[in-house]
Amino acid sequence: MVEKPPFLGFGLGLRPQHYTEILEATSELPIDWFEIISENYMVEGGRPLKMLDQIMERYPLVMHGVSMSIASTAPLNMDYLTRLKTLADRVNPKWISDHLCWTGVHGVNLHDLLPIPYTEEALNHVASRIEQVQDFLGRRIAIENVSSYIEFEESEMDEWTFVAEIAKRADCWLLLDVNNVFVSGQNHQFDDGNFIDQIPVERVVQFHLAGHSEGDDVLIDTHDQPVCDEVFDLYEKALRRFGPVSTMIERDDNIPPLAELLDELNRARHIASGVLSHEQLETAA
Amino acid sequence: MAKKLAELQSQMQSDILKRTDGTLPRISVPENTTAEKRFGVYQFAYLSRLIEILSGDYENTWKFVGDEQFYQLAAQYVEAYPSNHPNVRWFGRYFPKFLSDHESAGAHPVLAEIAAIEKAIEDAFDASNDDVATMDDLAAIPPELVTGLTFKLHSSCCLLKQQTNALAIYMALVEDETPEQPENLDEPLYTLAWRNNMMCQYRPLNAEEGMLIDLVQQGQSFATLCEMAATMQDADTAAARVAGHITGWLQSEIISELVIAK
Repeated sequence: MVEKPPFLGFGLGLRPQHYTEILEATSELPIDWFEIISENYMVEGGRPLKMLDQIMERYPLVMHGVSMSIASTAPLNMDYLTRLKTLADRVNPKWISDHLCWTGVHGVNLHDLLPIPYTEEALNHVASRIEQVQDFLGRRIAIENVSSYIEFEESEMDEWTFVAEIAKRADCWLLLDVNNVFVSGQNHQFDDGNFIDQIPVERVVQFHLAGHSEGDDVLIDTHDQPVCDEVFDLYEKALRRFGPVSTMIERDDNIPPLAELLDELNRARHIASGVLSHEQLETAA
Repeated sequence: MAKKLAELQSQMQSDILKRTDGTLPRISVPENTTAEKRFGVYQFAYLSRLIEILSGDYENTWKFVGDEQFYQLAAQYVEAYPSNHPNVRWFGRYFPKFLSDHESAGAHPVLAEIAAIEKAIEDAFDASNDDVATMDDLAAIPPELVTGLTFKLHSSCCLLKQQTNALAIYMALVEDETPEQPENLDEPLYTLAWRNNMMCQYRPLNAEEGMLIDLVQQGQSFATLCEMAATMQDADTAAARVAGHITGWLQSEIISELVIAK
């Protein structure tokens, strides 16, 4: 298997609310890298791309999409993939990721990360599509486990078995969203620690940490709250299994000042420093 | 083709869009909840997410009509124009047209025009990074070729020709001031939205400048601009007035290219 991309250290999701603070910081910010939402920069021009150009001069970037719809039974959207590739040529990201989900069929986009049944049929379908995307982009992509609120009667295997098998069959990387493991574990009453234990170490290139909200009998993946203690605990467990994996805080709504996110990121660093050796942490360029 | 998966996705999408329950028998949930409640999370999220997107894109239209009416209009829009673009940035692009076509448009034409202003400014924000023509470019044109000169507007430019006082209302809303009552104007008002030095701009144009920008969009030459300006005001100063407008456009990054006739 090809060597994993480098451990980048501790990053944040790049959000427009923080552009100025990032670019005008008088001292070095404790941020090793940024993840961009690919779709936010798949535009013709203007300020978004100007800011992106300036930030990529200073920080490593990874690209994270929400609309690849890799598990959809609709044809791959080649216009979308072409735009994604154009952006990747501009950004030169360390890797590109999207979600193990579908977002619509029949020309409609529901703009949600919708779950699929974990069946052999779905496995073959999704693995084949990831291979097609990787061939088109000329690079491996990372696939992220999503939060879900339902499961399907027709599922033939556990989510973690499905995720591990997808990575193997499609020969792709995995982005392990620790919050999503926690949220789905609570929603479907499975052991989130076991999920972590069943994911192949050699495939995981990135961790997401995020917050969620509590609904009526359900946790919802809203990314509008700080990362909770239980998710940090699960993160510690993941670090013990996977070793140094590029870690970031993903906040998409109710965006706080940058300093608050840096506090959360420092908590992740602190946890990592208790689990990983100095040498392992130093590998972050 | 994954037939079972395709059939499930069609059913599930239909149930999300129409708030029906055909997927429920195929859903498995823990004993502490129900399939209806859990599937309802997706149904609720679909509508609420898209309304939130619209309320962000059309913040001042929302302010103008208030929460209840905006929610009703937005929900109707979500139903009439399901998103067909992978980028949610483009979901609201038909909202001004939807408002213009809406049954209430006859009584409230101002609403679609406020939304059109917001859309024009939003579109200017991330329009293509065209080149920008300068005064030096203009000075380099041989004098004998100036009459045949045409102008390419920057991709961020959007010229609106509006029948109501939507612009005055929009400007008051932006400043959190109480807007004036909607009314139809005696003469249409031109408004130009564009991007200057990465900042979105908009301003009303007088009738002559509005007509000239309209002619520029049609690819008309400097000579034609002067002829038409002569019909609007003093013919003797028409060329000077047009030259003045062109100078202003060049300084404001409204022109991307000066095209010499071949």
